[in-house]
Parts: sequence; structure tokens; C-alpha cells
Amino acid sequence: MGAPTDVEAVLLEMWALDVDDHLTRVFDAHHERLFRLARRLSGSHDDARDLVQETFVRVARRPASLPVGHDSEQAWLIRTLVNLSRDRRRRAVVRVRHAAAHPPDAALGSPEAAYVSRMAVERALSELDARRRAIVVLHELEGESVKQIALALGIAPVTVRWHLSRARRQLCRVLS
Amino acid sequence: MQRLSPTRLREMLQRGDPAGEDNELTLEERGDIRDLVISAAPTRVRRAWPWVPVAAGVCTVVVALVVVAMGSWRTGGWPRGDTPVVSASVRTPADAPQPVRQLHLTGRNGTRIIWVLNPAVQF
Repeated sequence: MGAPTDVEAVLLEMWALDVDDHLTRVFDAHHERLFRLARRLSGSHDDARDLVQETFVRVARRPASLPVGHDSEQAWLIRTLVNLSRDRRRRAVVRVRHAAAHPPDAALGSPEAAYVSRMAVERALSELDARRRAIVVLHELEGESVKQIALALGIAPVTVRWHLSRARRQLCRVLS
Repeated sequence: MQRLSPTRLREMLQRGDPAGEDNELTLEERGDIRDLVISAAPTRVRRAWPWVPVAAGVCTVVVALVVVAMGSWRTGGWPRGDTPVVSASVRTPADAPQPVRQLHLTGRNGTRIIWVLNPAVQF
């Protein structure tokens, strides 16, 4: 195995700087949105951070796999994050269930009520499988349309609508 | 089971949004992840053999051969060794307005080359 020549070393260095700039730009452009989604898909800040990290590491290992353009990049990153979230759930041994002490809409405005409300919603969302949870989060909490969700997850719009309908039924059962 | 309208359900979900108060990475976390991502990029590749210069050399040779072949095709094919002139003669066309001398060369394969000599040129 020969060492690179001087010219090759310079070319490799230039390419490396280019890749570093590209990765930094992609991270800065998308980490906030990805973290919010990861937080809504996972049970904790640490899990969300790990999901975001793993998503960007995947980009770093194969920079050429990321499509060109902000929207295409974002859709690819969302799909990767959702898939990673699904894989994590399958491997999870313990599922922490937070029991709501009070109904979610009791005593609005107090910190305790907000905490209880959040716990109730987290519990309800944890009852959904990873894909359904991602669809509900993207639609109900992030305001994405059915078409945008279908594009992001690489599934048909009718599938998105079906999952939304089933998810709403499940959530109503848990939250009420 | 209490029936919840889609609007009511959305309100409940938004009120209990897991990312409501915890919606961003800390500065330190951002820096750590950024550094980790950059270090994960394949920036140093050692090749087992110098395929780039070899490929460039092969391409250059192929292009050169193609250019030479196209040039030879335009001039009538590869020279097949010496093609002796079978006959040569100098002719002056009868209907020429001024004396014009032509040199006719005929090759073994039937190729004819007619050189029209410029009468203004004096040797």
C-alpha cells in the first residue's frame, strides 16, 4: 500500500476541507428542527440528542448519499431519524410508563399541570408504534401536510391518512 | 371513552408537547456533535494502488489514439507502407484562360492527386 504522492495529498486535503464545510453547513441548517422532532419521538432529552447525533454521523460516513437542496436534505434527514427511532424502540427492553395523576386538562396554567399534561401526552405517544408516532408528531405538532409527510417518509399519502386516523383513535382512548 | 374532536386532540397534544420546553440542544451538545460528525467523515483515504494516475494515463492514451485515427480517416486511411506513384505527368488544360500547369499523380490503389501549379510562382 503506497503513500499518496504530494499532489494527491494536496487534493485529499482540499477534498477533506470541502467535506468538513459541507457537513458543518448541513448540521447548522437542520439540527434544531431534527432535535425538536427527535424530542417528540423519544422519551427524553438524552435519547433525542443521541438520535440527532446518530443521524448526522450517518451523513458524515456517506456524504454523497445526502440529496442536494434544503428541502430534499431535510426530508432525507427526517426519514433517517424516524428509522433510527424505530430501530431504537425495537431494541428497547424497558419502556417507562408515566401514569398521569390527574386528567391532562386540569388546573390549566400551573407548572404541575403542565408537567402532568406533558407526561400524559408522552405516555399516549409512547403507545404508538414508531412510524405512527412520527406521523402524528409531524402532522399535529409540526404542522406538516399529509403530502409533505408522505414525501418525507417515502410512503403514499393514503398510508399517512390511514395511520393518522388510527393514531387519533388510539390517542383518544389513552388521553380520555 | 370520551370522544375527542381532531381539534381538541390537537390542542391537548400541543399543550403537552414533549418539545414544548425542551426544544433545543445545549451549546455544548451542539459543539460535541459537530466535532464528532466531522471526525466521522472519511477524510483520509489510502489507496492500495495509484488508480487515479493510471486511469488518467489510460484515458490520455485512448484519446490520443482516437484523435490520430480520426485524423488518418479524414486523409484517406492509414498509410499502408510506401505507396509508390504509379504515374506522374504534367498537363496543361486546353481550356485554361492562362497557362496552368498540373501535376497528376496516380497511386497503385487508384488514388489520384492533382497538383495545380501556380503560374505566378517562379522558382
